[in-house]
Amino acid sequence: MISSIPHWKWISLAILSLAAVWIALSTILIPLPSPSTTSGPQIGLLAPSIDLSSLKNDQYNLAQVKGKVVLINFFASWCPPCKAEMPAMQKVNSAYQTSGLQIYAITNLQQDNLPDIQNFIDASGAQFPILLDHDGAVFREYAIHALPTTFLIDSTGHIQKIFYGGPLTEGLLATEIDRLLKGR
Amino acid sequence: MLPMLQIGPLNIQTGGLILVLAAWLGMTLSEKLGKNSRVSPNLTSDAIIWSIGGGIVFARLGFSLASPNVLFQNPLTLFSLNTYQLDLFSGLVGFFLTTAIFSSQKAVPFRLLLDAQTPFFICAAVGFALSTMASGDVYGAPVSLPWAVSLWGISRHPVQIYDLLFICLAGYFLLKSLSFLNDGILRGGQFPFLIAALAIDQIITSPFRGDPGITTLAGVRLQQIAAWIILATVLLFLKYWEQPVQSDYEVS
Repeated sequence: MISSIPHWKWISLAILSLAAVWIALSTILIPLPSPSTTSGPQIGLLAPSIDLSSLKNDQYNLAQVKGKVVLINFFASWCPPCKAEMPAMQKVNSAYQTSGLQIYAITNLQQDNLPDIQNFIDASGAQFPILLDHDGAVFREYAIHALPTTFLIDSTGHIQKIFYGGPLTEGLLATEIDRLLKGR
Repeated sequence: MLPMLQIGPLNIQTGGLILVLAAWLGMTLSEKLGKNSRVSPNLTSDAIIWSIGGGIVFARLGFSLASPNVLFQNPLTLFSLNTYQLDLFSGLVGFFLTTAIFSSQKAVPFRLLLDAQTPFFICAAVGFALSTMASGDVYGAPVSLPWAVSLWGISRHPVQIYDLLFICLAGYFLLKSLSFLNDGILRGGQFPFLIAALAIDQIITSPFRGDPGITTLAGVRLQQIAAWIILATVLLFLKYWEQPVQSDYEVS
């Protein structure tokens, strides 16, 4: 048995002392993690920039909504879970729009088409901007491998949550958005 | 990073797939090596299955208690397959509570059952490290080391690889000791040894992390403090945990 090893008490004390010294040294010598200044599709990093036009041909980017909590939903009109979660998206949009939430839904025109997107919006009643990624560049920047994928970005522009797949519920979205809005 | 794995028309979360495979491998190893802890393979696998069930129930209840809005909006979400509605800490509490109840029901000492489950815990720890590596949830701070890895355009500390290697090394030592030391030095101390190794891993590797999973208070990394307290507790109580195994405890 380990505890019957000769001088076990002193060995334990030595292990604990070494660990304490490492904690002290690392606290002094290794800087604490600071908010990332680089962008990437990962929690803790700055959200990659977007500059896209909507179905109504308005231009949208992340700089316009600086200081707001942003939800970016990557979808396709032919994707059933995307369709299923749109009512929840619209409900949180209505509930939090005035509190500082901005929702962008983005679809990739390389795998979608305008009439189907329009039908999708009409059926879902989405009242937030639906943005068109003409060449799939934003999908690549955000490393989208599955639909839907949803990113929650805090007011400083850092990604705080990524949901792969769906459909997401209104309660889950509201809980996460509440947390970010309170942290502003 | 490979958060999603595309197999034909299916998109599978890589992290989840790794955890399922790790659980299966862990259960197989526990059944094979658990007999060295004087617990029969069937009892070991039953304990693991019940404990996983208890863990999932607690993980969902823990999330629902912490986020009651989700439950109030739609009570059926309690039974949803959504893995985002699980709380890891509550899940661990549920797992060990279920193991404790199971050990009491089957009249097997709790510490023996935990020792028998240790191969499962080793695989789970390795699986968790691989899973966070695949999902990219754990990543290193920006550094200019020759052995840094390039992630999202900048050089970062390969802390996730350190983490994985340390756990694999500790796990390998434990598994080797289990397979050939019938009355070896780790008799009764396998589970505490693993917990101590995981605590040391956290103490060593936390400072190199750059992801937001690190919590700080007054300039100190709380993960390191918590891990040091766990390590001290394990070392202090090890001699009470490691008691000679009575033949009466043997379950076949």
